[in-house]
Amino acid sequence: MVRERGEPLKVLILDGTASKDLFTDEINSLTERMLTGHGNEIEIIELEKLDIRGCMGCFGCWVRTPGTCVIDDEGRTVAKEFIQSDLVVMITPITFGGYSYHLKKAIDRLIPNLMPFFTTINGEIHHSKRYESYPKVLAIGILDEPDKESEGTFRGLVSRNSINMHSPSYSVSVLYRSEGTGAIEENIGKSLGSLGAIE
Amino acid sequence: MNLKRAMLLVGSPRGVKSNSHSLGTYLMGRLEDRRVKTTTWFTQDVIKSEDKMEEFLEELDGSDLIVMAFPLYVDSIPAMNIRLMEIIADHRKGSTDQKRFMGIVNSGFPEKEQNETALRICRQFSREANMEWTGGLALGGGMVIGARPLKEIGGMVRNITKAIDMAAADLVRGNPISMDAKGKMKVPFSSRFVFSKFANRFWKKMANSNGVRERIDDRPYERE
Repeated sequence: MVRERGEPLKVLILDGTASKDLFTDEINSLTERMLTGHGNEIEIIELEKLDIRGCMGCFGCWVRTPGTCVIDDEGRTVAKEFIQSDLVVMITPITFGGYSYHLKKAIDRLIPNLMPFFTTINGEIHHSKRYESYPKVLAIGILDEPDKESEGTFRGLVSRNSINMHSPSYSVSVLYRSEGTGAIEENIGKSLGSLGAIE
Repeated sequence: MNLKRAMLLVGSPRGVKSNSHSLGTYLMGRLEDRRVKTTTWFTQDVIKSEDKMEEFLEELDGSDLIVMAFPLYVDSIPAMNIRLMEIIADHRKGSTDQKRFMGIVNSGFPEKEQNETALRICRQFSREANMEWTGGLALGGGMVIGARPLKEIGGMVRNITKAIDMAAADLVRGNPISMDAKGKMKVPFSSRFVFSKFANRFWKKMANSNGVRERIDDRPYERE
């Protein structure tokens, strides 16, 4: 599906935070406000509240029930909402340089959206597309304090995921708990702007 | 540091029927040959039972080395292991004892470099859990193992067993995993083209045997 420039986007927010606090609440509401302020259509999934089992690595979604995970739970809902979105915003505490458990269990269940077959992208082998279009991705990672190594790993992970998930573009915002509302808003705003979600 | 006790954590949901198990148990065998006492644990069992978790953490406290062997899931570590790593890091908050951590990751992609992010996450975990990172071993094209014991496979995994032998020697000496061992960890593929051709044929055959060959490119979540 091709969207015209400036046309509202269908946005999925995957909230991978747990035990809500004021800081994560602020990030969630700021992101939501910025997106809705520009007329985008938003769906928020609080992953902690969903019953999503871990991917079993059975490849049934490729060779038994093509395109659908064999596990009938809310992991299927996330995979469907993901592929039907123009932009996916993932919010997560940066956990050892990667995603939180709650976000990762959902991401592990996205592989039905790919084909089992291999293709070459930038000289590397990757799974080919099942669908015509894939969403852009914004990853918002939260750190207690600046940690270059952890932040670098996180940025690298999102970049790798964007290749494997065929995202047409992606952006990363790393936020520190010591930052004020203005800095957070500017950081997220820049990322959303670069992805065409806000002016 | 004297290596007396090592524990293997199998981080694949396929348990004993996994390449992670094949790789990890081969390393444990090599360590046992050098008189290291080893135990094997499965993440999926540990996180499901409070009793098992207690037992696991007790063993972890008494171990000098923890080896986590896992498959690459979406450029990273399968979610259940992240949960266990969070618990371990929390358990070891403020610990000052000497303990080492090693990762072994395998994937179906032919390029082992695709595993690098997962190993960087392991390294960061080591730091946050107050353990020394030994370095890790990364394997691409892991399907040649087919979850079989490495000793039963033969020539196709000769480099892999050599790499793990070298890693075992490094660990016993208290050294980080050597570049030689890391470099040796590979399977003999001739080219990406040949790899893709064989792999794609494999998937078609699997779909065919399940009677869904005609539906393999279904798009159940296509936008209306």
